[in-house]
Amino acid sequence: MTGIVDQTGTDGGADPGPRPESQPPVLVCSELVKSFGERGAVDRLSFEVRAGEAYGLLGPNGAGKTTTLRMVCGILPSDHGTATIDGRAVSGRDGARARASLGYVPQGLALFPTLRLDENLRFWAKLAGVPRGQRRARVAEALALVGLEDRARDRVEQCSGGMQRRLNLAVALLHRPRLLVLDEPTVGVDPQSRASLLDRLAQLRDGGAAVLYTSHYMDEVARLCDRVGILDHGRLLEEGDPHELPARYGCEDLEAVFLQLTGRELRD
Amino acid sequence: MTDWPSTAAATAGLELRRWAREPIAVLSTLVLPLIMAALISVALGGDLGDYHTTFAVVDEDRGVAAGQFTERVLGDPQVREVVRARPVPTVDEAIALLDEGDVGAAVVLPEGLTARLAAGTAPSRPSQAISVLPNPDDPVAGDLAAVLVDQFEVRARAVALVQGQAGATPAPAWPLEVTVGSPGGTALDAATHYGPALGLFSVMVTMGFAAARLVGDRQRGVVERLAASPASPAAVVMGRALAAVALGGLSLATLAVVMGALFGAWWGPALPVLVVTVALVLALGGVAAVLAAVARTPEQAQSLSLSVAFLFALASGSFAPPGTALRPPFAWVAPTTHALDAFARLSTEHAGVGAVAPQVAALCLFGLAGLALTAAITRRLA
Repeated sequence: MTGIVDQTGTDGGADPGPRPESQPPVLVCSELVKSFGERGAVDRLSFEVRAGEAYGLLGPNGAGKTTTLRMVCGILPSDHGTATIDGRAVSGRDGARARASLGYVPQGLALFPTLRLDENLRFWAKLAGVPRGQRRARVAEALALVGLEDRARDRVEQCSGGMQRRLNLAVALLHRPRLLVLDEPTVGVDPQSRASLLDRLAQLRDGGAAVLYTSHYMDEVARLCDRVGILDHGRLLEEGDPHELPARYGCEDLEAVFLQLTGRELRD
Repeated sequence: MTDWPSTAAATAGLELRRWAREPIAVLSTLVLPLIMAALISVALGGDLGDYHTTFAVVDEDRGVAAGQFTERVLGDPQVREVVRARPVPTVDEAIALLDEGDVGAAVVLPEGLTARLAAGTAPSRPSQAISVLPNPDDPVAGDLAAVLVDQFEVRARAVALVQGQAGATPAPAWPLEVTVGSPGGTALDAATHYGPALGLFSVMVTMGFAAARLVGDRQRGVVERLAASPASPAAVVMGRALAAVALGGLSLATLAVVMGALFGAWWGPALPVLVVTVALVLALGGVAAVLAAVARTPEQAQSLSLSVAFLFALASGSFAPPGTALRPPFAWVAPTTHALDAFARLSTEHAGVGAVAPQVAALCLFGLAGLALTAAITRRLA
């Protein structure tokens, strides 16, 4: 693996480095509140993600996960509270600086289908502020990281869904961000591509990146994340190590804990 | 951190590249308007410079009026470039010539015409009216003959009435004039009219493609990803606007060059034409932005744009023959109306920017109103 997450000061190599709990927090969310009209979406939500840590945000549909991620990325302003990356607020005057340390992978395939893979990456590299002299190397690096180096000249629309998901991730890695935010990045992906994506994310985490991850797949969250937060109705119901939580609740696995906390009724 | 000009340039470059990769968008922007403009120009007599026809003139009146019609109307230098008069003794003979395709139309000047026109009266029976017999194979000739006859009839009666009021005996030589062009300028020929008219349509379709791309980007999360990047949102918007202006300008410029080369169309002095073009693209860009804001899918954005393009074209008279006033009373709500008026002034009067300032201002207002409305809709939907 190449040292793509170098904003951490590490090279992302085989050595996982110090444990996350000894690292400073990269993302700090403090008392975040967001309402849409009368409907409260996020209610006084606070959590941190440290360098070299993957944090899983779990919740049923409508729990407030995507709204939280949007506030974390500065896409949506919060009604109250703050989200900071390395001490800088993501919205407001310092927002652009904070977002320069952020790599965001939205749920959709945020790509340009008629353009080639390398053209997509070059555009996003420019927007992320990668210096002109480094762009070619960074594009090649990102493609190699997700195993698409041989497809650089193909158009996105010619690639399979799994390849497009990997490219979607590659876009977020171009500027070697301190914080990676991923909104259900494995939806509709075959098991091989899913395993590959999770391996890459684990490598990035071990290389020192902070990872904020949402998914409905409990197994992949348990596999990737050092900590999880279970969210419902905009509130954080529980937070902890995904391997310790089942024992704490006397449950068989993380999914059982999730259902115990959020209930079994169907959500829209 | 990214700088503002570099972000705008990168976004504009990306949009142009995406356009170039969509064959249908390229066809709609460049090729389709050319085909449409050429077809309509040719069908409706776009290239009058090469069009010639012969009118059979049947003089049953044997008075002064027939001579006036032949000498003053058909003898007008501009009319003579297109029409040749062929005196024919009887209506039957004229019909025979029409059947054989030897003449494009026949004009029958009925008995008593001189006396009726001298009295300044309208025909009370069909047999008193000057009649035009068209050749179905040459509809342009029939239309042209009808227009010339109408002008002659109206002007001759008007002159007779004025002279009658002044107490003078109707003079045998009425001061008849048939003005084909605009006073002080050149005529707005079909090619010069249909070039911009179809260009406006094409610009709107081009904007529709841009709107569809924007809606697709929103659906896929590209807009979210842009918002999460350190790039300035204003620079991204500016980049997209620059690309739209470039594509709209390219579409109009291609039409201007090709229509000029093939049909002799001249849109007017370069600078004012450029100013009107930019203002027009801004106006249609504003409209397209509104459509992009309300559309839920790229397909919706495209079909909405196409519908609006047709409405604007109909309202502004883009498809109507030049010089005809077939606009509905609400034509002013279409930005293309103002653009078409501006282009018409520029091509016929050789006017400068000042002469089309009201139209340019109206187009800019459309653009600003569109952007304001888009911002309001976007805020409401967010």
